[in-house]
Amino acid sequence: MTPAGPLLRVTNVVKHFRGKRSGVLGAKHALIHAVDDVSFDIGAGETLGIVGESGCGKSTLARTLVRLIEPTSGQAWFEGRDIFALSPKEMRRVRKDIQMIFQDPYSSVNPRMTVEAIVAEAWDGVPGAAPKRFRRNRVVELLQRVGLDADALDRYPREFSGGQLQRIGIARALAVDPRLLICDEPVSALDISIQAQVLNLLKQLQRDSNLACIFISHDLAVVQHVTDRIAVMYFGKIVELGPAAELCDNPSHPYTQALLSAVPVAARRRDLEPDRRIRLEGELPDPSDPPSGCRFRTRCWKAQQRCADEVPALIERVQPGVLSACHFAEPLAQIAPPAPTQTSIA
Amino acid sequence: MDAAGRLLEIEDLRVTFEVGGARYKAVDGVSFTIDDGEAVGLVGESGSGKSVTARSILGLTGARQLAGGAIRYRGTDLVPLGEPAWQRLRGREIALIPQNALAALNPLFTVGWQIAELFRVHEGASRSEARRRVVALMEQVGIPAAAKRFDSYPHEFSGGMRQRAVIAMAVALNPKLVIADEPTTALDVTMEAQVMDLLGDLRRERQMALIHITHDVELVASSVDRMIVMYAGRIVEAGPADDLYHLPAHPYTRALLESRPSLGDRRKGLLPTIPGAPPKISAIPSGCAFHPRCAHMRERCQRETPILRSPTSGRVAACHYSEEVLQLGEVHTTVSA
Repeated sequence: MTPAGPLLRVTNVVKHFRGKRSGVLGAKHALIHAVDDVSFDIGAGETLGIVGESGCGKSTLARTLVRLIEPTSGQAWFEGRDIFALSPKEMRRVRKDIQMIFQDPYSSVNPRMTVEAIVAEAWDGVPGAAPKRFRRNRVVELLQRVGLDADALDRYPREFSGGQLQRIGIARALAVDPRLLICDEPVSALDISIQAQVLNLLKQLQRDSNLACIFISHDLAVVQHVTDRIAVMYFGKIVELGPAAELCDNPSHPYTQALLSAVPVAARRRDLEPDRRIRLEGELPDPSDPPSGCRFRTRCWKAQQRCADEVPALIERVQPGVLSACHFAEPLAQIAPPAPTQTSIA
Repeated sequence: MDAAGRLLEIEDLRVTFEVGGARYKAVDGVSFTIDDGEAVGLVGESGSGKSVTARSILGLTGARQLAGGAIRYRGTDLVPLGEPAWQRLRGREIALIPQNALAALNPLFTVGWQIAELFRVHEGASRSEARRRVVALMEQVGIPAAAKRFDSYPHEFSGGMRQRAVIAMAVALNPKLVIADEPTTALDVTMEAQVMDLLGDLRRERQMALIHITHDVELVASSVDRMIVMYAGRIVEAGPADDLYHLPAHPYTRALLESRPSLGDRRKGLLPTIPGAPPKISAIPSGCAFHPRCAHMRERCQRETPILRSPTSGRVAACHYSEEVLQLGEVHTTVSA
């Protein structure tokens, strides 16, 4: 981490969507709390993982950072400037520094453009971009950096596999020399044998170019492998945040513990008795009507009155350096497992 | 297991697809058996032929596609008997849990009505009788407030609940074999864990055999008895799930296992990878289809297609050099919780 402060400091970001209409003539809108008071830092060259299940707000959060979605409130300080307060013109300059790659490689490239045009498009409207006559060579360099041959230049997306298209998406993101790369589920749509190739590529790029990265995924094993720190999100909030190894070895928030317990690990079969596993009951609550206090309490086996009354702060509780938003945070080894669960749910 | 316990026998199954005048092999000589109550994981990446194999068992590949082979259910080959035979079996003997529960449910009818239809049509149950049984079944698969949810439409169910509803439909008539085609792929991890537990419970209670089709070795390894790994339309390895998971005999199985980051693994370096991508059925490599991506490839692999043989007891693998692969030792070190 740089002593000069973080590359990106996100403070109190909130995003509410207007939900279904109700009331007289649809006068009332339910408010969907997609992201609620989220704060974190990323240092230059650091990789932060954001883990959570669908609907937890991880993708919405990422999209607010490049202003594909306008946040409701909050700040995102990038090199001393609040991204959310920038004019469209200033934002264009910052976009060069913050690039994004998406989950579905097929829908994130234009099928009617050649690979060269797809990658070179990244320079459109970017001040100080490579002059047109050098662009073809620059694209070749970028393709080589992501492991593709120069003969890809004049070909179309349909001629490539999902893994290759994801590489093209990465090349396009790298074209403008970003300082922060936001990867939204970059390997989830790929075959298992291709996932490792793309993960390795991302890792090498980080290493070679001191690129900071936000890596969003539902897959804890993948996130743990590629990131320095992990933020676990549940229902719009960060519930636990800390160094990847500490957080995975010794989670203190019940939701993190449940997530880890749900990861299928065949090797565990022998060491972990079925009744030691934590099985979450139920599903995410209604987003237009979040539970009071701790949002996880409706599915938590530790929930008590205090959890309904008081929102737990995200603070250091059990391990130094690991922030946990649970009134009853405790190390995994000490937790009493919930009563052996039936598959039926409450 | 004696012949009396043999539920299903697939022998030399061949399925081809015609694209633009050319015929391509989607499934190329697949044979395996399923015994009563047995759980088998059918593992493969996209294009491996795993789903086509499953559809063939249900008689859902057309006669034109089914290019050869036998599908024997309790000793009777269904292929020459055709559609009428399958109609008698589907639902009652062999049932399918599809991947996309939303597409499998009719949006215009309530969930309860759709499950009840099974009891009314197949067993002549009255409306009230069917309703009573459906509510009991919905409760058993973990749908809360089942009596109330009976009258809900599919869009009013969450993804996890819809998956439970299609599982209820699949097991409603007590089939002897359930084929689950990527039943948890559309679900989040915590939902996935719930559905995996549910499938395991139902299987034990009802003594059903299960074919779990998936791309995720890790997911099925701890829940099935045997695994069958497919690549480019062929079986490349099959054997007891535990053995195959820890000590694979085929380079593809091994590479698949190694390329997945695992939670307990603290090595932060690069992952072992399989170069290239799974082949399209229009361009399956000569010899061993895996040879262009294989770390153990020799000249022989390019010309001679390896047959399934048994390099170690209880296991079959289609690799000329399985013994070498076995000598590489265990893939996974035990992970502590």
